[in-house]
Amino acid sequence: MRLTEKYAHQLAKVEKSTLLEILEDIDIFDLSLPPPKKVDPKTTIAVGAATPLKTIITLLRDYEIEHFVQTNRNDFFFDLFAASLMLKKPSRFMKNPVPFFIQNFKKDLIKHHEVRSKTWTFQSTAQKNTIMGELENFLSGHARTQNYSSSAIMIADELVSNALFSAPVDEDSKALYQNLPRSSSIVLDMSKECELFVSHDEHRLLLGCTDPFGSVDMKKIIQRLYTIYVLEDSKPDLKSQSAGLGIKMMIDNSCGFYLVYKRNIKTLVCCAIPISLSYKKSELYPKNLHFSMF
Amino acid sequence: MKAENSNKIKIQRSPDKTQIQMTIEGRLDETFRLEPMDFTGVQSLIVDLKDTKLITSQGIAGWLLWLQQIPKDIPILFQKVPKVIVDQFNLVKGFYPKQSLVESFYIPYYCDACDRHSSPLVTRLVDFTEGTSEKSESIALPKLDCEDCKRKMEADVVEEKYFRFLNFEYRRKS
Repeated sequence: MRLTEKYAHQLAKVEKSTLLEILEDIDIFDLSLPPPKKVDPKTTIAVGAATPLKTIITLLRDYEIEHFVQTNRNDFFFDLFAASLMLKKPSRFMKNPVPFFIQNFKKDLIKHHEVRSKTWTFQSTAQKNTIMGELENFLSGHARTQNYSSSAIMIADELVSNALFSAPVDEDSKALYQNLPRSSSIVLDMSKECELFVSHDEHRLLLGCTDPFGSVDMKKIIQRLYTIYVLEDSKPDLKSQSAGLGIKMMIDNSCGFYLVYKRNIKTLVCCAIPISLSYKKSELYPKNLHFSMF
Repeated sequence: MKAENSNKIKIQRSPDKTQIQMTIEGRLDETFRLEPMDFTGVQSLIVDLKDTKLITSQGIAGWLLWLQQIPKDIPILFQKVPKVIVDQFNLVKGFYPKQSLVESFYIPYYCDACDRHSSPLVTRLVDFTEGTSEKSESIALPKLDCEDCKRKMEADVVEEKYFRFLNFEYRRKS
């Protein structure tokens, strides 16, 4: 069923001049209904209420669907817009994903909230400790971000490590540093720069990282997530430098995981943390997952 | 050049060399690597985790490698275990080995009215006991009042997840 048809009533309130055009020609795979006969992953968003990760990851693997959005969240339509944009204009999403998480951009619907942001560019492992220290200071500047400081720093650590060790490839797409111990020192080529950013309002903290490689192996990631969440084998492979647990830790500690990449050009990975919730509520909060390649 | 350590590990041996007391502080990340230790004559290992701030996937790998070097007949006693480590006890296979026990751990508490967090420490055989093949685990949650509004604070955890490491069947399978 078309998204615009299914949510026609709710979308009637949205101004035509906004992102409405983005939603056209997008199909909805509603988990509460019988599965559609044919699914085109490049035009379909799966939705469901309080759907467990096991189900979502099975769906991502079996139907090759790239976006799953939970209907029982107050940011449902924001994430639906985000997923639609990732499908139709992914470069636009990559350029600035923040408005989809920091929701005061919809001034008519939502009260203005304080927004704090910070960005770091980096090219080497030597910068990591400084960045983590500055991030810790940034997070301590607001009671709600301080409460989630451990989760946020852990996610940032995984993002930076991935950008420096897993992402870099040579001209033949061969991994450069994937097999190096993560305590090694790495300096990227002068022309290659990564970026870590953090932004938050009263409700959401967004952490994201971009790298200029676009080297993600999506099938491998989905298969690893399937092993961890569906087959329930979370023991890392200690012989491999990339133990495969980083992505699990990012998903476990956030309410939304977003991975968008343009082959050989750029990768963006974002995690959203629901900082206005207690730990218990945040653990029970249904998760959205997005994996988009173009 | 190696990365600068973001954690601090203190190791002390008892005068008779039968006990090792360790303190692990800071961030357990890619720099968390322990040199091989001599366990000759050692009868127990006590690990204080009070000041462990967070653990990354590389820290988990380092932890599992560290556990591999500890002989299976030496009991490990974990003290003052923070949430970041309890979460891994409950999630990662092999992270909480069968030869170990938790002596005390922190439980996050929350006051919904004031947005205030707290973390009382609970102690084995006082506040909780782990499950055995004969009896289920038990935990008496501390009663805690908010310092601001004086209302009752609530345990800020999903109980069946957070206390899973005390469950006998879970331990047996993990």
